[in-house]
Amino acid sequence: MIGSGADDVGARPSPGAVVAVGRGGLPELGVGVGWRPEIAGVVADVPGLRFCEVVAEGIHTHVPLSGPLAVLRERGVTLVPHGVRLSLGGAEPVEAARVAHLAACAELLDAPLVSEHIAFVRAGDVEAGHLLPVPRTRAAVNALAANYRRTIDGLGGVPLALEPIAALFDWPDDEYDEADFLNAVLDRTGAMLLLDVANVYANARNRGQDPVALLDRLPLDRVAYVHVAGGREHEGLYHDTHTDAVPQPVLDLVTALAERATPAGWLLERDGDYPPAEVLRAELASITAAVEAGTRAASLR
Amino acid sequence: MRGIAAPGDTWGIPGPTFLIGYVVLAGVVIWMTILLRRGVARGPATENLLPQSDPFALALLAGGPQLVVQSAIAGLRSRHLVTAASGGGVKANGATAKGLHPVENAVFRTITGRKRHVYQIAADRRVKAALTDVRKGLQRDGLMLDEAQRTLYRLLGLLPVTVIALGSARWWNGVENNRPVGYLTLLLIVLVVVQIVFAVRSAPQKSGAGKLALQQEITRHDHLKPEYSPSWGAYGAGGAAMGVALFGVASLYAADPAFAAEAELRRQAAASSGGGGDSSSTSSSCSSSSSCSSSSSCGGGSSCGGGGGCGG
Repeated sequence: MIGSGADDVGARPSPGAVVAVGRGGLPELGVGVGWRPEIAGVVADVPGLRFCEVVAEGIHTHVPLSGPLAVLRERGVTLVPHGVRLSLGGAEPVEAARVAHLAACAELLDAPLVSEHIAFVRAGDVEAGHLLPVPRTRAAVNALAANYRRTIDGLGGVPLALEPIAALFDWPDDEYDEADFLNAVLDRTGAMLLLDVANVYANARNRGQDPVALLDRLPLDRVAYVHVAGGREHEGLYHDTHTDAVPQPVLDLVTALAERATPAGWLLERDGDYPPAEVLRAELASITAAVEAGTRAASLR
Repeated sequence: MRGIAAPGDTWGIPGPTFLIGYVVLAGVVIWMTILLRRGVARGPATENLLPQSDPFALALLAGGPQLVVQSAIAGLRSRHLVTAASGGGVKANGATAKGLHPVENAVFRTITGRKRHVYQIAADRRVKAALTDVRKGLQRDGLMLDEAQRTLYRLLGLLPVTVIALGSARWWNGVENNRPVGYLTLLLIVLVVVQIVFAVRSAPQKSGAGKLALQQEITRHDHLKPEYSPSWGAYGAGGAAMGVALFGVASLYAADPAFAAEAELRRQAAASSGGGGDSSSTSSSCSSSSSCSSSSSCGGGSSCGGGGGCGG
């Protein structure tokens, strides 16, 4: 199965091959998959795999890299640490130990960049255990910018891409809408964007908006790479579960984004209820096809 | 020291000369015994061992019949064909199943309509027959020693008896002729101990090639280690069975702790003196396994940061 060209998800034609500014010097990464220990063997067997994201909080940085991740790194697969517990959007400064861990992860994985969420996971001593949306206010932009700076200073030159989250609710005192808030954060920080099209879809759909219209208001030249994930509707709301198949509207949004921008890579996130290996590979193939459809449409314009 | 034979020497050989020659002879024979036994146990050339893809063959190689049964239970469990019986043991879920490995099929039939513990399943006639087929396959491939090879292995272990016999004859003559036999006595005691070690060490089941094949598969299936909490959904029934075969029943406890604990998959047969079969002493010590809590060495956790919906 390895090396059969037909379902080679890493291959991505790039007509015109314009290197986007927003890539921040990243190489073409193709379509990758979120590395999870539960599916390490499936990920290792994905033909033509060029990049994976690894949850930073699960990486042990006090020992040399071993096991399946070490094998991937030896194969030259780009590994990107993805933080979930830094709480960049919190009112208090990010914890120095967490920043140091992120830096150690980047060094251990030889990563070209790291990513974190525009969210908070704790306030004071209370751990939410979940990514919570930041109120879209000027004060929040200031706090985020300060935390971004602290993190960048601790990362020692490794760029940090920011990922907006899916939020099922808005804070009552929001001063910006979603697109304006993101633009404000990216302008203030100068950060690259990790855009989750499933989040874009979820947010737009749950608020009765057009996801493509939201895309068009984002600084797409700053997109480093893209998250793609599955979800399901529950009681009228679309939930970004990461445990279901990627629905067609999200794949359509992948195509719409590929028409408008050339991110370095596209990454499938799956976080449970793992399907058989061939189903996961088929999902990666669908994403590859959706990206190709977008780049084809862009080249025809 | 006298180098030349004197009239009183046993067999016309001076004591010191005999002792030196005897030590050399004993050394050579012990060395040959080890080499010959190793030759019998080596199995076929190991340069190009084919990948062994049958989890039940590997389970037999790695741990024996009970591990094969545990491995088959993992394969059946991942297909939802087995449930834990109340009070321990497992029973089949459903009456028929297709596409099973002969071993899984035998286990499934054994637990259809009645609950059984792992050791009881391993003792079942049908399971034993399926195991025999698996064992024969391994012996054919040279990964396990067959009975003839094991007998030869044991017989070769008796080679030092010849040296002991020679030494004993000399010792007896020496005693009869009132010659000093102290050193020879010591040597004989050492040789008898060596002989006992050779004799009591049972012939191995696995050949050298079998050990290597097992090691290769453990390396190849690194991702099935319990510490990674391997997903049975992703790896399928074959992966579930393979995980248990290579990394032990801890894999099953990690993947499905409630089932594994309730089914008492680590329970051994009650000691024969115990009577009634209520062996709480054997089952309690291992039913709650702490060794297999998923402490992944790297990259654990989802990117969600916990909670229900991800949104990350």
